[in-house]
Amino acid sequence: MTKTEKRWILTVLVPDRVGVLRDVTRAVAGFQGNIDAFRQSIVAGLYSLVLTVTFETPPELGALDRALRESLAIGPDEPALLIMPYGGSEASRPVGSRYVAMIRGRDRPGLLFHIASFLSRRSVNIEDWQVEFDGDEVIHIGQVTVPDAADIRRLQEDFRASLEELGLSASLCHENIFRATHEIYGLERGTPREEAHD
Amino acid sequence: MIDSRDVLTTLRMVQEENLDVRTITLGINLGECADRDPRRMAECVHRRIVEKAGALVETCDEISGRYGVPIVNKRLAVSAASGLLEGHGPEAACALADTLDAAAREVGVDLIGGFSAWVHGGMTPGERRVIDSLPEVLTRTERVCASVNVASTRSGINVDAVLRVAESLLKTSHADAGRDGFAAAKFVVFANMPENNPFMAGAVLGVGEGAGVINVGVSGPGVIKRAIDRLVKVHPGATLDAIAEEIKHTAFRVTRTGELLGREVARRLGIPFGVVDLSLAPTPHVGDSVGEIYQSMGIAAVGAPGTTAAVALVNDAVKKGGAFASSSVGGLSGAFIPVMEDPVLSAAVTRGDLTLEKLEAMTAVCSVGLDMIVLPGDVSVETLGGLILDEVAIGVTNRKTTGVRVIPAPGKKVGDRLDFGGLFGAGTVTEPACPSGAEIFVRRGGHIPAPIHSMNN
Repeated sequence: MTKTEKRWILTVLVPDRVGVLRDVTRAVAGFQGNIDAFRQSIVAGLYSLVLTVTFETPPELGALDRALRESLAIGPDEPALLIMPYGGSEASRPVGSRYVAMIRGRDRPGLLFHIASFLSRRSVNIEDWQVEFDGDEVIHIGQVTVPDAADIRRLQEDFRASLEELGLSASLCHENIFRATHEIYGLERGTPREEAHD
Repeated sequence: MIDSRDVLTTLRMVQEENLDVRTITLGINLGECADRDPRRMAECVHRRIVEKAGALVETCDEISGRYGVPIVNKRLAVSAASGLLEGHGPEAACALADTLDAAAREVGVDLIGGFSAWVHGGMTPGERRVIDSLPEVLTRTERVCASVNVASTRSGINVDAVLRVAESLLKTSHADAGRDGFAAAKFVVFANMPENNPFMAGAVLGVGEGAGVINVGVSGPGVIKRAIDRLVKVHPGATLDAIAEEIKHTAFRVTRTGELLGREVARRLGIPFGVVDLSLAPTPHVGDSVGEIYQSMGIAAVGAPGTTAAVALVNDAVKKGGAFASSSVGGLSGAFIPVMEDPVLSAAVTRGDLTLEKLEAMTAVCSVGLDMIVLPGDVSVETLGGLILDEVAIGVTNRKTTGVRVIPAPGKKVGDRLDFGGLFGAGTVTEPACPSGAEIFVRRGGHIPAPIHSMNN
């Protein structure tokens, strides 16, 4: 059995409450699974989780599903849980530089579609995105990967202009400016991310 | 994921509070261009500047776009011109200045510093040549800036040099009478002149520096003011130590911005990175004033008792924040008080709240000295010399840099206004409360010995 087959991806979407993560990890630990990738967030009161877990001795899918549902106290037909073999997609991760996109202004239907379409047309991969509200204004902040071959100044200008047409302000800046101004490390050695890539 | 508050804080500093990199200054050593033949010397100077700085502006623009932070000025600081002028006549000084001006124009920078000399211990013929040629050099060129170091804590004050500089400064402003003496605004006289200052008019590649270096000048008085405003809004009774803490934190962020961009420019140009100089340098734009910082702290009338303490607090907090942010902090680092360039300080002088004597007191605790102050056109050499002596004495005794950049405005009297436009700003002519009476002292010449604390080996 290959390593990939021992690794599973698991998603959970349930109303948020205290103890959700405890319940998920209890079931996983019960099969001696090791969590090796993890991301959780709470959106509009819903707890959402994506993780991958690797087992020395993989359990049957049904057994893991039952253990999780029992631990989370959700019924067998509730579509709150998805478990499947991990396909291994890390190799296809886009190559480029990390930038942070920020859009601010009055919210409107189709705004995120507009932004995502713009970025997609220019081969910019969205890796993280969050939306907040500040009074009447919506604030989108996203982490994206811009291909190294991109004309960054042109891209920034087009991005600003594209959102300005909708009455919003927008910016696209390299992530290191935000790290440098808020994190403590020696700039003479480069940013932590640059060191990690070396 | 980067914290969204961090993103918004940084963008607010740039987009709303005028955070910028005020200057990226490339230092170039011209020592290899020394030549008995002035023509060959000029050719070498031109070639070396264009070779070293040809890609500076384009690289800065590229890095500025990448991080979304404006790099307002790209400038050059060459090694002291006096070294090239040893054994040369006045024609060579003008030819060198013309070459510096032309090369700066060719590579797209707005100012080039280094028409300079260190004369705190004595003057060589080349150094005298620099001082004596200032009227011609500063009026015939557009971009050349000059500086002379007349005093140091280790050597004391060269009073002969002070007098010579005062005479030359007065001639310079009168030679440029058509522009109200503007040429004098491109010259500064120093005590303890730093060798890695990226800001004009005093930028020069010091004798201890290498073949080339990138130094960065960061500003951001608007960012500091807004940080204090936010603190006071939330805590109306905020104490001064709380304000100092807020300034320190903000200075950290501003310094980091400058170092990040400066290091990347240096890396791309293949030139060593030198220092980041966080100096609160105002511009005439609203929201970019050092005076507004003092107002936010509670000094309603800049110049009132308490102002000097406010300057000391800001200057110290800026240095502390900068020192924590980077191990490569240098230059002047602190708070400038250039009167004409700061609308609040300028207005305070016009109202009479801020006098020359109060400004002098403030220079004992700020990072530079008497800066961008307009004097009457008929000011005497002795009065100018006395002003310089007083200011450099503060620097020598307090082991700090002090400078004098004043403009005797031909034909102007106390109370008259003049406007240089752009970053140089506007101001009202002022003068010392007692402008004469020290002539005999100043004319004695010689040397004021180094203070006792210079003997600390």
